Amino acid sequence: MAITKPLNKDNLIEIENVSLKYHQPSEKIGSLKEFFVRLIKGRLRYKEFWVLKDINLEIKRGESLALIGLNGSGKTTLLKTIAGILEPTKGKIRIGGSIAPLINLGAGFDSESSAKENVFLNGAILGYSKKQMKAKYDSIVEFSELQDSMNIPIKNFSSGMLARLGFAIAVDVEPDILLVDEILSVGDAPFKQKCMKKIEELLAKGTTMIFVSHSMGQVTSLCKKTLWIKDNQMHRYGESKEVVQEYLEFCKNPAEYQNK
Amino acid sequence: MKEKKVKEKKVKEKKERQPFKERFKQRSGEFYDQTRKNSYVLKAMVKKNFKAQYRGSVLGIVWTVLNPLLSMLVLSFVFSNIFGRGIDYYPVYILCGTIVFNILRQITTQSLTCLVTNSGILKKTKISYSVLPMSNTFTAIVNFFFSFIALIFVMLIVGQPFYWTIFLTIVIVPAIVLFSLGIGYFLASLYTFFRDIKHFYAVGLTLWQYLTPIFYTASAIGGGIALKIINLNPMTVYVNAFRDVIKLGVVPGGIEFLIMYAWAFGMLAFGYLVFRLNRRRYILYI
Repeated sequence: MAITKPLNKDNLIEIENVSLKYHQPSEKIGSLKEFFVRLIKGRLRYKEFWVLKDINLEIKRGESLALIGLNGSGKTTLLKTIAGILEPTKGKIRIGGSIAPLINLGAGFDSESSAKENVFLNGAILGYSKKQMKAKYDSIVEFSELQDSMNIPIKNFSSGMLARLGFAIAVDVEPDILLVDEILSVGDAPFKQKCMKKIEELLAKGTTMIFVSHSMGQVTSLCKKTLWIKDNQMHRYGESKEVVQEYLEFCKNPAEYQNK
Repeated sequence: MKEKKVKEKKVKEKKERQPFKERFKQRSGEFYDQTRKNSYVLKAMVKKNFKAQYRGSVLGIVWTVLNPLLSMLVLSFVFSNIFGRGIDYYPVYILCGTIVFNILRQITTQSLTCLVTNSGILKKTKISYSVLPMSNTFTAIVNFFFSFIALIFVMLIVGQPFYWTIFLTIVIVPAIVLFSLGIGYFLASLYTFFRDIKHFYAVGLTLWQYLTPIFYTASAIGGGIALKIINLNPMTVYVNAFRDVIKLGVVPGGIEFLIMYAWAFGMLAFGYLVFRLNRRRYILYI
């Protein structure tokens, strides 16, 4: 997919009528034989469902946006679509800068390789040469506080350690757009604070962040605007405080909210 | 009303067309960026693959030389009295066959599973899918270099004379590599949808290996369907050409080169096309 620049120069991200359809067999067909057997029997039914419906967003340079919503509502999917990992079925996404995605507690890591090797691998994925990453390596290790574990294969890492490493790399390469998916929820308190401080620093520098979190405190303190995704659609979009307040009300009693 | 719409449409088209130069600049810049990024990923992946091969083993990298040597020893021990009688420098004959076939084996078997084994990376970041089979290719090339060192050792030990044509391997090996990469792309694509392919291919590859004159000469087969298949088998052409330049000092003919590269580019085009056509669907299956 060719990356197209935003039409409006003030915007860093433009999402226009984006919908995404998952087209999966209702039961996963894992073998050729099974496939043909079902084809002959006429049982090759696909379950189609829209995981994103008509998302429209414009994010300006330096603006930060929070995504909130229940599990499975499509927050991570939207992040993945912005990162270019998933391609929208309908609509367009225009992006005017570099992206560092941190999705599901970590960037693209190879579980068999050591943490050190993964720093370089992830750096390469983000578009940095080995030489450039060597220059960044020390500060990444320092920020993640994983000095003693850099030669351990990351399959032995805890989720907190993975999050640390991913976050340390992503903030060190100073991307235009930082996609953060629940990464702060697994860190311990001191690290969380460190991350928040770092994020504030980056935001002050003009980084744009899209932030998925279930911590409403973080949402209101870090992001001006919030998008509440409900049932794979945009439900509310606006000032963080207002959206969060409504969301919290909804969370108290979801059934009642729907009747309203 | 209609005219107005048409006019608007025209204006819109013009607007989009106008900055062609800029667009070209942007596109080529993007292409450059993408290629640069892909080359970094490629390097990192090759390194990763190479390390992964012998992770945890004591001898580590030595295995890349030892592996072809040992399999050659096994084959020559078993077959030297059956097939080896009429063949000069039989160990060299076998080794030429095994290291050529190993290029195919490594590229295809690693590419087969590469999208699935790297799903952790593919699901969380955006990288070009086509880089993965390519990285296996480079890993196989590195391994080939080590095997080649082993080959030269064996040639020295058994007293096989050297010919200048040994340098022609540079022209022959790329054909084998591209041919294998084409199959690799095809299999990688197929495997994401049908996992059974892995087992089918394992059997198929064994059959393919036996239908390639690695430890026997085609003439020893005598006749029948097997011989026909052996002669149609592109790997036979590759193995024979490789042996010609190493063992006999013979330059393969123009037709042979034509066949080798026709297979190489044909298979690459086919495999890549299949791989590319399905690219949007992989993410849902890995």
